[in-house]
Amino acid sequence: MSGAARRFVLWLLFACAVAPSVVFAQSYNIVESVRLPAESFVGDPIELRYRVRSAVELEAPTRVPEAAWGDITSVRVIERGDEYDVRLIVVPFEPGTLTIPPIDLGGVSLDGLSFLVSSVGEERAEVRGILGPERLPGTRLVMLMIVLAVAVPLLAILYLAGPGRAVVRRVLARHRARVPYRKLLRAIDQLEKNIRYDTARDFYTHLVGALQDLMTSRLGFECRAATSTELTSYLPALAAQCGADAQAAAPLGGVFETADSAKFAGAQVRRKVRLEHLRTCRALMVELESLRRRRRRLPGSRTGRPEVADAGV
Amino acid sequence: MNKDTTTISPSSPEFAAEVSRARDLIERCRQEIGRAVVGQAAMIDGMLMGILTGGHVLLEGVPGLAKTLAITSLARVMDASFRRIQFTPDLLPADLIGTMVYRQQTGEFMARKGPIFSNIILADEVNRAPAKVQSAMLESMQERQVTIGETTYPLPAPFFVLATQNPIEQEGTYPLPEAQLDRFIMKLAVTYPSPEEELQILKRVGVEHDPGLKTILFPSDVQRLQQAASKIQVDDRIQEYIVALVMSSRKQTESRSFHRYVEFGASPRATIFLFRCAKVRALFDGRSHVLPDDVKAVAPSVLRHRIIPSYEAEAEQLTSDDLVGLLLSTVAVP
Repeated sequence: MSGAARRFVLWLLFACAVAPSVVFAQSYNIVESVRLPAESFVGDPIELRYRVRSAVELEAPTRVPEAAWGDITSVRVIERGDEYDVRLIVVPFEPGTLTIPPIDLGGVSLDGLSFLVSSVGEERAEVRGILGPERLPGTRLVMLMIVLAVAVPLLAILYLAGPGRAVVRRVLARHRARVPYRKLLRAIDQLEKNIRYDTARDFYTHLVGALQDLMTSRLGFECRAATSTELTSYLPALAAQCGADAQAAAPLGGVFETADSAKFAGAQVRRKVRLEHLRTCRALMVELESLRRRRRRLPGSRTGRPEVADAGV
Repeated sequence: MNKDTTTISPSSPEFAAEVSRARDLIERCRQEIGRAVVGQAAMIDGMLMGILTGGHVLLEGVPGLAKTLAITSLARVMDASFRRIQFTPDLLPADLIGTMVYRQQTGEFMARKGPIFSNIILADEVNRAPAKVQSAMLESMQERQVTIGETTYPLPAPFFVLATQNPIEQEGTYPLPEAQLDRFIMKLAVTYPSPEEELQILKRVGVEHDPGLKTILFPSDVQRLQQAASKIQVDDRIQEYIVALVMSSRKQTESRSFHRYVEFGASPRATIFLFRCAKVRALFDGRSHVLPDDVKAVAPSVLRHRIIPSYEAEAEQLTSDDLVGLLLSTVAVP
């Protein structure tokens, strides 16, 4: 290739490289740029104002461009003689120097504009993703209570139908076993309080009734249908059921005997004797109950009720 | 014993002393009969109770349990006339109560009293006679008088019938209907003696001998004992308990678990007889008042022939005694 030809090729290559820049050279100049506020941080709304001098008429874009670093919420174009004010409001979610994507303003495309965003956090901290909406105060507590209101009864039912059944039964049985004992003690207290006013007949009717209830509960058969003689014959079984000596409850036999005389023969029983009977009953029952409870606590002592050979039931 | 017991208050010391004497007298009777009869205390007590309550007793037991010996011994101890009537299918009412016979010498009909005109009657195997004979006897028991021809004759006092039944060999018998059974104050179930008692029987009567029983109870004593028994104090609540027991045996009252086993409950006669027997039992114990124990003690004998078990009870092999047991273990004692 001759030198002339080589020069022509080089010129042609140069022309090809330069021509587009000449053809598409910026037909605008940014004469002034202002940022409000001067320093801004991630998440702050920032207004960017650019005074643009352009040969062609500018107009606001029909569609706000989208940026990866945050939101461009508005783009306005204000004509000021032969210049234009282009105002952008952006909300950056990233720190650093951020570049605004090209903005089509009709005859001109603003491009290459950038701004600096500071961060209050660590310089290189990763930006967290966008959080969901905040709940009303107390929402969590209400939700927790709803969950508990549903779950607790459900769990209770499942427990009671399954492994808890035996436990509940045991607890109820224990409670029920204590009821006649407490009732007897209350009856004794009441009788002691009213001993001046009660007749011997009423006194012994109530006392024997409470004792019958207790014996029914302890021995497991109907002692309310038992006579005094029968009740006396059950006393060794009552004592044995509590783990006491067979004769421990024998003094109650005397109470039953006196009760029969008072109830059915109209015998008058002195207050002193009645008080003595109350004391005997209370002391005996407290002792037997404590022995019974102690016995229940011993491992492997949950045996059934004692057999009463002559119970007649 | 006091001559005039009607003037003594049931709660007075005099009455207590009278009751005590009555107990001693009854105890002596028991001991005297016990010289001839080994064991069978319940049967002897039942017979004495029958006499003192003015009722009649039905005895059920297999042969050979000293039923006849007991009643003859009782008759001897009581200074009472005694007749044994063996009930058979060919027995006629006239054989029992008597009939009009023609006396040729005078040309008149005259009444010939039957064996029922005795203080103590043993109606042996009462269910072997036909219904008309049973009916004649039960009517006499109730009315305490017999009409022969056109004349009515009162039966002697005391008048006590001990009827026996054999629980086995029911072939060809005429079972007493419930209405007739109800006329007996008690039905005693006689059981076999214990081995010790049987050994004692062997030693005592292995060689036949007469125990030579003494007369202890005279008709006047029986009357006084009856009067003493009638004055025994029965508290209102005991009376209510008796009524509750009888009412509970009936299905129409509040439902009880054993009611499915009951076809028919006890009649109002049961209430009356429980009341009377409980009083006599208190007298036996020397008490001037009745206790629930007395009621419970006599209840099986008084109620066992008045409570009719249902088919369901029979299917489960429950007897009247079982039902009475259930009843007594259910009704609350005052």
